[in-house]
Amino acid sequence: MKMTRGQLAYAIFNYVFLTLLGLFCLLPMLNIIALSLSSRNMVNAGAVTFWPKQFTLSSYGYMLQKSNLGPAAIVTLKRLLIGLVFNLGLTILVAYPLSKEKDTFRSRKYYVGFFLFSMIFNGGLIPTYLVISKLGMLDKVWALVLPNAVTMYYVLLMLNFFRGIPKGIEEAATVDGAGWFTILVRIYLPLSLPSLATITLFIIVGHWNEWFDGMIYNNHSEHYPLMTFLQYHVLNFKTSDLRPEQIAANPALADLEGRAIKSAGIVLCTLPIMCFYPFLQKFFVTGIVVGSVKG
Amino acid sequence: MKATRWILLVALLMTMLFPTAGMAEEDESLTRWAMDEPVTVTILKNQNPATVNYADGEDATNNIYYNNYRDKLGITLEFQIYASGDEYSQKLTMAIASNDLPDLLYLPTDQYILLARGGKLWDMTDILDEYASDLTKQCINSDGGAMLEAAKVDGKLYGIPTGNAQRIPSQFLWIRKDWLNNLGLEMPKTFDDVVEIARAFKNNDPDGNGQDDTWGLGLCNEMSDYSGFGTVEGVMNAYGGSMLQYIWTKNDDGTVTYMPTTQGTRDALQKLSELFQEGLINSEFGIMDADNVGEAVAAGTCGLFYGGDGISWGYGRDAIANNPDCGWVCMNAPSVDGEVATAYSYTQMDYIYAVNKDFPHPEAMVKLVNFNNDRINSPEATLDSLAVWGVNPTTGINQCDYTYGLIDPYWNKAIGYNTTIGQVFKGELQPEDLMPEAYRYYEGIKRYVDEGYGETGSANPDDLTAFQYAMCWGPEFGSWTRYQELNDMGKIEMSVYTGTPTATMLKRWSTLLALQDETFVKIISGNEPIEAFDTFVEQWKAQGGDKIAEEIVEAYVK
Amino acid sequence: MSKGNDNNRSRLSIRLRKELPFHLMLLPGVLLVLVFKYIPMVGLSIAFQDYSPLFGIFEQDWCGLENFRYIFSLSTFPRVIYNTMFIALLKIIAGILVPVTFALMLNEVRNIGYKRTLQTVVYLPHFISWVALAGIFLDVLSLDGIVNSMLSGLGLKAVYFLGDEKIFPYTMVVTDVWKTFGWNAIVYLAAITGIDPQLYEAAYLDGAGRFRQTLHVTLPGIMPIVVLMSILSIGNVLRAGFDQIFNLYSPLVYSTGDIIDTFVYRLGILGAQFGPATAVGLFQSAVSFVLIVTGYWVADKFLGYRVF
Repeated sequence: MKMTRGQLAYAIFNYVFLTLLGLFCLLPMLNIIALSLSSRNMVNAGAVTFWPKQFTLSSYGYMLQKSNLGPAAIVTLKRLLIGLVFNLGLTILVAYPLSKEKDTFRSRKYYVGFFLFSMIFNGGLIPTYLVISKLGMLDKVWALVLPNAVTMYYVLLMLNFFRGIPKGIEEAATVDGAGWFTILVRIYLPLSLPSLATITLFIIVGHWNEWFDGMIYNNHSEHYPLMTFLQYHVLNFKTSDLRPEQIAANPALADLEGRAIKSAGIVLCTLPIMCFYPFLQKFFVTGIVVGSVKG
Repeated sequence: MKATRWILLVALLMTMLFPTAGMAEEDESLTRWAMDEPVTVTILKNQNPATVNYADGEDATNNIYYNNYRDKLGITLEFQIYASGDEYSQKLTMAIASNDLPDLLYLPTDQYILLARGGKLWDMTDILDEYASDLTKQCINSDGGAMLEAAKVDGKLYGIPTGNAQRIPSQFLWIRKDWLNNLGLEMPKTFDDVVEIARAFKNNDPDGNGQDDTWGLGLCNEMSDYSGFGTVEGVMNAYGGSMLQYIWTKNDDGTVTYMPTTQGTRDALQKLSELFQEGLINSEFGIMDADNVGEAVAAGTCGLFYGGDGISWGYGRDAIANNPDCGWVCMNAPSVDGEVATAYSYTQMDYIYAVNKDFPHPEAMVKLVNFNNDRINSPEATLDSLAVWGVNPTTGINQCDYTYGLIDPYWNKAIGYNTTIGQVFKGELQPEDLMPEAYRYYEGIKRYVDEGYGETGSANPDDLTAFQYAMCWGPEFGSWTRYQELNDMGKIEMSVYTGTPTATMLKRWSTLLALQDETFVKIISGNEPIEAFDTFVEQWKAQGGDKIAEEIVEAYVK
Repeated sequence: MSKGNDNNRSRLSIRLRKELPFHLMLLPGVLLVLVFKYIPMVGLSIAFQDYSPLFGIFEQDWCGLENFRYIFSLSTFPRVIYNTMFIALLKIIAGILVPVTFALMLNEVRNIGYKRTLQTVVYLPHFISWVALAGIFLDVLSLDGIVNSMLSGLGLKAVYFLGDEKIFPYTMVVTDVWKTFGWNAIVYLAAITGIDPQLYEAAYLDGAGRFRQTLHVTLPGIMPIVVLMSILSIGNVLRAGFDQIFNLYSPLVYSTGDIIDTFVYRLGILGAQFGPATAVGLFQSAVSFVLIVTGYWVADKFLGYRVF
């Protein structure tokens, strides 16, 4: 197909604009990575743009050896794995019955009301905290997993996907005498792999990035997950919180203020997810589309 | 597995069978305050665990204090909350909201009053009488009993406060001496001179690097509390005002005035907004906290600021490490008419150690305090014993971080150190007469002075510890000497208010402070005209300020 | 008569037996929601109490609407509501316009490799937590940051993105769109692939170029989705993004940047004023509830889209 001059201009404009847009998304990240790999002097002098100046790994060395990043990462991994099991399992178990029409599942509307209401109204922080503390879950990973184990957004995605699966398959199985559980496990789940992969990704990213609950439900900061740790002990770290003797005894603490160290913390805490999501791209694009806009 | 267990056991037996010499004698003083029955207590620890250093193999529940509390006192600590700063207050709020209180509490004043009024705390008066050691009684009465009086709620003492009988002001003017010299400027005599210096520092390239990269007057965004770097308090004082949220002065007619709402404060704000307009204040001050200003100090961008005594710790030290020519000088804030400006202070009650009414052994708290005092604040403490219980001179680890319930004397012991160190330099005292801690400071200051840095305010980059001590307690030039001058001249006015919030304060104070912070920042940065101050005063009064003033008269003046 | 009853009963029991697995499947989810969502709702009564944390929730003094009266008497509160709605509405509008435009433009790209790479890149911000992004923006947008050093390189005046109260709300909108536009475009891209190719052929035969095809075929083709997304996002007008603003704001920009959620946090958690804080939260939930339910109802009624 031949292009007219106008079409060519249009295409070029398109490419240029989109490339700029892509750079716009990427550059802040590159800047932070460059900062994290540069020496303190160069960073303070404002000399670093998108490429490290006076390359050094000392900021990373500091974060990995001297900070509590390791324990925080373990808490995050724990909540992630346990959260994945609970969240995914419950999403399937809730979405499946709700995907049935009311002639198949009479009480459906009551359940819908029940879940819908809980999605929008909440009792606020203090009452929720009370429940969690009375259940003895403070400082336990369960406090980070159970309260949001039923996430309505995931249920909605799953539910819409289930609805899109042709009724005929199910009816055939019912005639063969298969129960609802069997149908779910044998027929629905294998057909729902894109959606399951999408929701898995969402759950992992959600748990990885959540920070507020980690702060509220942990009385000991060594139980903080990664993002809470990043927020409170790297980004919001103030040397003025320290007593002079503490700095005198350990001058390295004062270094925690530095932009380079903060950048290294940010990179370390986000890198795993950044490396991970491109591989699931194919899945989540289909998953999200079928789940949310089946028209 | 088995083998290691054996080795441990043998090691344990060895230490039990062959105690080192002198152990028996020390043991007696360690067990003097032992509980009748061992107890386990839950506590709140207000500390950032990331900032505590331990010797190899030690941790929060295995260190000299924790182990001795357990073995010698019979008190096993269990941490219910372990965090600091905003995190601590947030977690404490949640614990109180869920009525999930530990046995021993460490409370900010407002929560203390709430719990005391709610009948949740032991009345400590008799318990202190019966169990406090003489040393402890000395420490908590070193200020003539003012602090204990301030900690009383409805006439009863529900805890042991920590704090300062007189909080050291943060109005000291810190100046880069080398910059003054570079530009041929004199030390300021009036506030206008300070403005001149700011103008010169901003415009005349004081560091001589040929770039327009220096600030005039360094300011941070704290508009109601003390801050170590870039406070506006020095300017406020110059105009006879104050922005500190603690300062209520008594009027002749028996009413009280909240200093941040006075004409002096207004004048200072107006002046500051002019300076900002002229570019003499760092343009980003509104989002800079004291640490950000400190960073600029360390980087050699900021060479003129009001602050606390803390310059030598941290950032001032960094500034010299980054540039050996850098030198500092500290003076008391001058007023507009060339006097030393009057500074404001108050009896600063920080946190209060209290005991949960449901816990049957309130004496445990007092015994912990006694034990700690014997280790740290006793006149019998020596450099050797402090090396064991305080700062370890080889590793630099401060083992006081592990204590629970360390109450320093309310009359700040550093004032005494400053006086006695000064006397040693004048030859009125012998170095041996100094308290062990003061002696350690003296040694550093001596090195500093001997190397001739007393004149330049600079320091040996390889001995910055000496610089740290010298800038605080050095003779003539140290900030604590300035502080003593203030006291001697009677230039410190004490607030009638001692930090115990009134009923309306508990409800409205945070909102009122937010209003103050925001208004002041905006006036200085020119986002609002100076008339916004008058609106602020009106709103402040209407939204609870007037009510609070009445309550303060009721509680403190009558 | 009695026979009919029997019949009914047996039908009921058949139905019950048939539906029992559904109830069982829902049971764990229902229990969790009950414990962690519904039981705490009892705490909403704090909004009507002169709440003191020293007593149980049933032993409090009731104070009627006093907390609400107090909140609305604060000079800051109307401003907080205004800020919330202003930022949220701008985010909603920009959060539709930008992804739609992006999807339309990306649709013009024929090079599959380029297309996929670009998509990967623009999805990236979606996967980063606001905590980390705030760390990035606080650095990048500071006066010493790279954006301002580029501006000064171009001879422009430095901009105070996070500290200037006039600019702060827009900074929030732009950074939010930055984070979400790629991700939100997925839906529109999918809708575009669903457009009947014959429509394009017809337009081509009518002599329409690529640009006009986009304007007259693609855009109308995805319009239903655009409308649907707009309706569904109405429920967010009182939620302007706590994670983002909490991590980026400062007292300097409270006048334009303080939103309901951050206000409640400071009032309740830092200020320990549980009664007023709960009252604000309840107000917000109630309004949101009405908006969301209306949105769902409109979507169902007029667009035939069932959320549930």
